[in-house]
Amino acid sequence: MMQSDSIFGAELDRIKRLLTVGEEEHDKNHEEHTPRTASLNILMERPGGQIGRYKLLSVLGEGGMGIVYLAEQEEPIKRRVALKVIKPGMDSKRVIARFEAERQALALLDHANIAHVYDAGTTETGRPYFVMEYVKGLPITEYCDHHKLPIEDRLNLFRQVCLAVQHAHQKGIIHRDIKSSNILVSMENDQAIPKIIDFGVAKALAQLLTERTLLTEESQLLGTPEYMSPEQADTASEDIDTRSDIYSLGVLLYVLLTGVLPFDSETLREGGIDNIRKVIRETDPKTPSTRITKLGEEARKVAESRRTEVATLARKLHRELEWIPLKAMRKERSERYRSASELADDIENYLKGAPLIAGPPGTVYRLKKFARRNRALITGAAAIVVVLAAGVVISTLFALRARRQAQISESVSSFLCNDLLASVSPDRRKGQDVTIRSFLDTASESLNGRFVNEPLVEAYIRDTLGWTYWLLGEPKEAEPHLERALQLRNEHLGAEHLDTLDSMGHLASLRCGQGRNTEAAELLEKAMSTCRRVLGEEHVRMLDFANTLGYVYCDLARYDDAEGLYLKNIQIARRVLGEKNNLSLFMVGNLGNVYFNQGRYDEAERKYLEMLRLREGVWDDEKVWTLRYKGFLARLYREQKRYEQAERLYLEILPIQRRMDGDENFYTLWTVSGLAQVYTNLGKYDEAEKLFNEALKGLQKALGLEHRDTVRCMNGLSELYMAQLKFDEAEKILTEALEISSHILGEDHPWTLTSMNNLATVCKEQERYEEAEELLHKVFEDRRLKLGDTHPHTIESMNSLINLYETWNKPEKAEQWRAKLRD
Amino acid sequence: MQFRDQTDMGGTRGAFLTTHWSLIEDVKAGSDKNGALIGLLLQTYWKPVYCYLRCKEYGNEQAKDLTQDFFHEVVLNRNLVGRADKDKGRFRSFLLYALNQYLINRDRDQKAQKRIPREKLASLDIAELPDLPQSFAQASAEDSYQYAWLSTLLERVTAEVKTMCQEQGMEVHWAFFQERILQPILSNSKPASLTELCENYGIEDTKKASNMIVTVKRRFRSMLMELIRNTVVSEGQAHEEFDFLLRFLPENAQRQE
Repeated sequence: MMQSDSIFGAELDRIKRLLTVGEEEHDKNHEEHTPRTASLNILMERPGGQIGRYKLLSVLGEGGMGIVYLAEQEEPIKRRVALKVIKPGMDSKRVIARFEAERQALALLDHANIAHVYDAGTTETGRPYFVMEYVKGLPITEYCDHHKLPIEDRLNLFRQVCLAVQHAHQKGIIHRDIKSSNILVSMENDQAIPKIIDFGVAKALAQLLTERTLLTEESQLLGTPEYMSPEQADTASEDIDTRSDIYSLGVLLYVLLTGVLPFDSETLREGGIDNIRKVIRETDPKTPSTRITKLGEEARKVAESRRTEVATLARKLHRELEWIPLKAMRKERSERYRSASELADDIENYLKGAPLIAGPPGTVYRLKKFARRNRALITGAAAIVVVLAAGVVISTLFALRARRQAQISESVSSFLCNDLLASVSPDRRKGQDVTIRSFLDTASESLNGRFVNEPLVEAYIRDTLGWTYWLLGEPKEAEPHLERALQLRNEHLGAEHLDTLDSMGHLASLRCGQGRNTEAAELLEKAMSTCRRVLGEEHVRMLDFANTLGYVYCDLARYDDAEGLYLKNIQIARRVLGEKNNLSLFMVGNLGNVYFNQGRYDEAERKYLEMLRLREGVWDDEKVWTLRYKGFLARLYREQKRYEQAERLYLEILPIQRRMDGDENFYTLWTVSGLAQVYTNLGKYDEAEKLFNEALKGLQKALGLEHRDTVRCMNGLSELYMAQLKFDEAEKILTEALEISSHILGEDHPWTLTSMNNLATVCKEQERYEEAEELLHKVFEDRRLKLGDTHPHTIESMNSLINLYETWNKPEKAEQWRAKLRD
Repeated sequence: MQFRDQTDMGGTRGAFLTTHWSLIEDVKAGSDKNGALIGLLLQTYWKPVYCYLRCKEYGNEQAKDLTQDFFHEVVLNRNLVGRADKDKGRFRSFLLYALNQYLINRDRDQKAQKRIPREKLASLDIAELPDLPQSFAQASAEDSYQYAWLSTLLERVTAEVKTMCQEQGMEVHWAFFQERILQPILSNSKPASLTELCENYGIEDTKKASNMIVTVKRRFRSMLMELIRNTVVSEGQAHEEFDFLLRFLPENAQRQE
């Protein structure tokens, strides 16, 4: 029933009329306060005019982005400010919204070398403006040249800039447009004080950078290409982190030292945007010393303004000062200084004559550069593997030489040079792309029948190829090579030869990775038995096998065997190798894993913490192993329902893993999935879902559907669905997980039982009590047998049964189980 | 004819000044010890939920029960508010998502109704039920939900402006606005002539009357924008939200023709 005086029930056209009531009047009302014409507005944005509450006094400068005015603020305090009006054509709302988003963080910036950004707004003509602390001074490079500062004084100024940038980075703010003109040097009490301006401004304008600048014309390029890091040029803003500022600081230092930019502006810009991108991403700048010597007449001026001679300056740069800007400007972010303070430290090292963190570009750096140049051909993880594979081949050769097996070494070299490298030479490939995979494939094909009379050469090559395929994530291709290598070595060297043992180790690792743990365990047990006989109990190879075997036992849920193995070998490893040796550390951490799986959480925590304490001074915070064991500790906290601690730890390691290992790395995904589970427990379902999707998709891609870790992730996701009351989705994914898990792990494996337990919960929630009962009974019995009566999971099963019977309205049965639990 | 606030919603004016999201943040931070903030949220959102359910072909009584159950079970007991995140969009969309999930499970779980004692249900005044326009007979449940939210919003704007006028001794201003603008829009009738109104209320000239109406119209607009702003996070989003609401209207209005 519609009542005429109620809004409810009114037709849409009337609702619309109501919604627009006063729109016109309201807007007019606003105009009454500012009844200006467009031309008047433009006039207001000139000296003598007014923008917001700021009176414009004079023009301080004009650049690509807009005009900077000296302005005066009257209220709430009277002060002079610099007001930067961005030139027309920007989406003011978004610029301001971005600025607003960072405003709180900007307010935290309190550093003598950072100019405050006070305010932002839009002019009457709709252009965004920023109001900043007015710094009276020259851009740092001009200041240095004007005062003819020697290198050391320049470095001191630059160091202050680094520390200021570090301050901002610690508050979570990236500048994104560090360049000479954004660092002004003013004199305070006869001291030169560099001040960084524009913090927060570049980020607010970043939208423009992505959507407009790089896509349209070069003249509108915002981020100053000469100072722009490869990742800025590449993805334009989405994946920018503090290391982008480190790059720009490197460019600034380059200019301070040499007086010229690393890439000549004219050359850089002559080929348009694409050329700019290409140069920034692929070309290494000439070293400062080379640059200086090639400057001709200009070099003299440069040296003069540093109060030195050209030759002296070049010498000073060549060893070893120039390593610093070059390290800061590395194309790969992970190779730059890790922080602005580390860069500052290296400057200090130089000034004190201490050894530098930076070094000259080495072989590995060059190899990586090769991979980068060929990124179109070799993408993602493969790029790293190129280096890795090259490393494997080279190290194999070295190993062979070391053993003085000159004949084999020579055959392998010849095979590599004549068969393989020739196959990738341009005339043979006819312009086809060469990838590491195709390189390996060619090698595999060429091998057949090639070494009939040299089985050991074939074994070496196959072992290397198989291992490289395995590292590439190609287990199927790896398998025949590793199997054949083992077979050949067994036949020609005997089961007790070290190389045969190595082959067994490689094949066992492959089996383990394939989830074929029983076979892996058999191989390792056999290898250990031989090793014990030939090399003795305390040989490092023996310890290595023991560590892997313990891990395999743990995966097979043979926890007691794993525990015994680790307890014994930790003692030996500590005695023989020391407690800080990698193997000793692994085994302590892995023993923690065994305890975790046994539900002995307190002991597990002690082991993890012990290992993490011992690794100090050996593995730093970013070392892959540190991250991995911290991940295990986080998982333990989660299991103990210490969710906040777990979340904190996951959030500590995840960004490092993403940066160091990449988003698609298996261990990164493992952390992503772990954090998703914590979020589920904390009720942050949206975050959890997002992360689960990322993890599952990634794991399925990396490991395939039928893998234990994919199953584990599916179990986690099912718990999220249950928490969200999406029982249909939960059931679907659990049925799938159960099927895979039963197939690859066995019906009584703890993870299979987790899937089954979760499925029982789904049935219970849907009032399919009989089904739930049957599943819960099976889970309980299997857990009791596999994990023991006191394992938290067994107890969980009993509680689930009690809960089921209560919901089902069977109090007697519930009581029976309660009594059992009490016992 | 006086405008009658028949929805019995709104509470005190002071409470309106708090934004939705800050309310939600307060609830999440645990500062809603006596449940007053939750109560306010419930009052704001029960009508959209009820209208949605009606369009899902639940009967009147069943829709009322489900509305109460939903607020009780999901919003209160399962801490739906605590899970809302202002960065992830509109609260009303989140609520609708939760409602759908609730319905899916509820349909499967018919006994749940018996598990909650009636007296323990969230306290909601569902005495006077909201109507949907006749043209909505065929509309989707989602559109009905949007419609009810929008109507609730406009009723609040109207109630607020009316109270504001009364508090400031501008009853005549309000009467002019109501008779010249509000009523004609709502009842699709011809507005009373200004001369007539001036005579009735003792206003000397029509120009003055016209200015009085403009004053209230501006306030209406300001209040509308303020309340919209209260449901979003920033100023920029308020304009986007307004545009969104406008887009919702013509699109549906055309479909009804």
